[in-house]
Amino acid sequence: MADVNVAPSLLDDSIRKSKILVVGAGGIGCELLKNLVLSGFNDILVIDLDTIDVSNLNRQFLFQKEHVGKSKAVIARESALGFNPNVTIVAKHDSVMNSEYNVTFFKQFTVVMNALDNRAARSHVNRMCLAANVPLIESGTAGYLGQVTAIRKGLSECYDCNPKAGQKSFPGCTIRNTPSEPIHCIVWAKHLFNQLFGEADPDEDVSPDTADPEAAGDAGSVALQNQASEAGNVTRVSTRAWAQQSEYDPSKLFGKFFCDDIKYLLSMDKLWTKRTPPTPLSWDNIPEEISDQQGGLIKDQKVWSPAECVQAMVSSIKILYQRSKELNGEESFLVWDKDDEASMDFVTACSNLRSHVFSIPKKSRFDVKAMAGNIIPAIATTNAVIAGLIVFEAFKILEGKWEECRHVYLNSKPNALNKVIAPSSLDSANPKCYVCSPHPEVTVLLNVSQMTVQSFEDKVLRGALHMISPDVMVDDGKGTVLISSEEGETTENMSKSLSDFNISDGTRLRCEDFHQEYDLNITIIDREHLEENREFTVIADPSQLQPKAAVESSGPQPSTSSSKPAPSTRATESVEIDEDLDVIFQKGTANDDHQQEPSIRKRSISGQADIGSASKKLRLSENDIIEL
Amino acid sequence: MVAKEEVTISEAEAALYDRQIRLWGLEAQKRLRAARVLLIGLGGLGAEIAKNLTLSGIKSLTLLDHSVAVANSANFLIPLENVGKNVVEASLERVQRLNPMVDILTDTENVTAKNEDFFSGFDVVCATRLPVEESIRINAICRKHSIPFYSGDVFGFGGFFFVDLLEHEYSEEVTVPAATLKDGCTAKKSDPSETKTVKHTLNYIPLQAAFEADPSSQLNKRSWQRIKSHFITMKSTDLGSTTVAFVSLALASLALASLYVDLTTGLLMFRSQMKRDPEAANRQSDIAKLCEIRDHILHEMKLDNQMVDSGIFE
Repeated sequence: MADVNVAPSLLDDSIRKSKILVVGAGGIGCELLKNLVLSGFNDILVIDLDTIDVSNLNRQFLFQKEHVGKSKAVIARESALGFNPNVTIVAKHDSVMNSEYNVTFFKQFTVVMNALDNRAARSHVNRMCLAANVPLIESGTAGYLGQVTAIRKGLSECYDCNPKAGQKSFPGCTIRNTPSEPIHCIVWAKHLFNQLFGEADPDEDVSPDTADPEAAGDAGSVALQNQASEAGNVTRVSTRAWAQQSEYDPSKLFGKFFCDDIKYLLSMDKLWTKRTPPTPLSWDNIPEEISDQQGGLIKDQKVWSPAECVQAMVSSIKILYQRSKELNGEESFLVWDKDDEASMDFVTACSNLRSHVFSIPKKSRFDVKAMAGNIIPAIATTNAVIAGLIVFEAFKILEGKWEECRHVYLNSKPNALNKVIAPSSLDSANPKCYVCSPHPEVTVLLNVSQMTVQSFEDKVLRGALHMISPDVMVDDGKGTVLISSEEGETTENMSKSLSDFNISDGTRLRCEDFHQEYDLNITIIDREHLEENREFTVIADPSQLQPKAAVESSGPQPSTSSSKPAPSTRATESVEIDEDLDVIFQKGTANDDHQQEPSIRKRSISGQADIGSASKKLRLSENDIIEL
Repeated sequence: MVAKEEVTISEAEAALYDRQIRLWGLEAQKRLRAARVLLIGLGGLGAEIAKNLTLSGIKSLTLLDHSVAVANSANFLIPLENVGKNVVEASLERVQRLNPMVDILTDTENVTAKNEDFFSGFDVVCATRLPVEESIRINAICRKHSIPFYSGDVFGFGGFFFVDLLEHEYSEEVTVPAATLKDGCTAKKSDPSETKTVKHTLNYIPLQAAFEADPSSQLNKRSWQRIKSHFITMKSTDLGSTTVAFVSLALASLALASLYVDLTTGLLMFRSQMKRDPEAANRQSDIAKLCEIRDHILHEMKLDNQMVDSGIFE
């Protein structure tokens, strides 16, 4: 019910005449819409692909219980109009990454405000705003922490100027053979779900990894022989096909995963010289455990005994099997969802059974859900503060006072300068940014004979580099088209390997995303093996790349002389906010430990760091950082 | 203090509060669940506070305000058709809808008519738009009953709040990183870090004491210089919702407390004399009036007129 007069100056006028795009109607989005509507903004478009869940209601206050299941954008609009019916709000229940939202679409807005929760969308909107030359206010929250910053082409760094810390991932052999932490078991259980009910991914194998370099030796080959002799041949049946043979009989599934496979692992005795060996479980003899847990907990916070795990496994398999039978046609697989009871029960049960086998501490369903589902804790007030800060940055932009825009941090407690809300000057663009520099470049390390064109498009271009409809040409003087964004034009290329197109060490690829108006040159470096058995590595600053000889020194490498089986595929499991595949953006050498958090360099407003200088100083931040 | 009765969280509450329980823990949620809070004043700032408290899952929220709902208010909880009614009655439905599990109570009396017995029934008191005398009075009552007290207000793009948490014990998790080498099939550094809990005690001061501080002392003069640039500017709007984000610091320190209080006193004095906040329509005369008030206050404080530049009133 507000028709609030903002300051009687040009600002007021600018506000009234502006057109705002709000990307996301969740935690930040709800607070932001409320603020915009009360501050005199008249013309707003809000877009969100998601629907309302009960766990949103503790903070996304534009939604109530009766709205669960409905579109966030639609309901947010309705509720916000209740605060000021005279405002024009258009709601789109859609993904901002759809082709409908092209550069022309973005150009109609005075300011774009992100209220997102994942990097892919942020990266995409970043590019669209750069292409459309529209100011973007980026923000994010996690728990008590939050950040707001302003992005403007040519005037500030863009979202992609800073390398983001690589997603946490685990080597395949850790997941399949030698887990040592609950998270390894949880990742395994999620893979098991996909192998049994979901879209099977060859990178998500759950059976023992016979190609584990650590296991190499007599025992391993003995085991291999045994398997060969028992089965008659060594051809693999897919996990799903095997399960279907017994109609998903829980005792058979249990027997394989928690008994037979474990026994197999035990036979690979080199793995267990320094580790606690696993103990196989027997279906007929599930250990009872006396619970010593405190009372007063939420039901989900109680850790299940092995017997309870088996119970949950049995009932969830029954439900999931039934569900997968009922599916028809194309959609013949289930998608794992942390908010689906059976899916969650299945993963909790299986990961805890595996933990039990490997003498790893068990986790409650509550904790498993957070780890498996990448849950970020969230409250209303952090989002309220951040949304307020977003509008303040918007005011500065509308007043043309770009020099007053700041990167603002919300800390959990006063920082070294005694500030809870800490502004910091905007950094200037990274001259070597792989997105906003005049001639973007990256280098990608991969194995050209192993990487297929399809994988390259899905995992590298879309997954890591956040393109949405890439066109790729090989820079070979012949203009060979590797990938075309036009449907059907390059289908026959997809299953071929890159080397089939004479792509080799040092080959350059010219990539273009017409929709994002983004051109990128990629230099391919051929590497037979990468650390941690990754499939590829992206290097943002190619000048930092070490020569090949120096790099391959970390970790056990399969010797080239012995006849080796195919190398273990890596297991990638993101434990970050979104579903990005694992990628390393490094400003250093390929040898750097990819789990090392890049120190985010931020200057306090009183510090006079060299603005615009090519070499940015790295120094410890004074603020609580969350990675947007 | 919060009642010590055994509080349980139902499954429905666990589902609703899931994301926040994961942040502050089940124990904290249970304490919220037992808390009875009084909120005085339901303007823009009050509405924002009401929203945040209600969403968090407290036991009850009592809304106390005798004023009448007007148009153009930053209180977004009032539907257009309720203009003309008492503000808390006008806001009730929307507040309740934010969280049906919280008891929302209304009281339309003037806060000045409330006595000690009234306040003693609450676990926390939050006040907005209070005249200074009322803040002092209620703070003193709360102190007597060991009730934490918050009082704040918003002036255009700036604002302030005062906090008295009496003798406040809290613990802090301090992280000590400890890199250890774990076995893996490749040599991988994982970084489990040790967290230890450190206990602290903060002693807050009552509002009255802030007024009794000597502003001419050397310590206070230095503090004054330091905070001068932080002081609020005078834009003539009531952007309650947006501005709330910037309400200023906890006033645990005597020196800062006195200075903030004296400066905001100017605005509050304006309000009590003119019966309204400074506004754009009367820009020139209001600035003149503020300068007059400033001179008066500074004279009382025996400070130089130069210390508060009239530029801040722009």
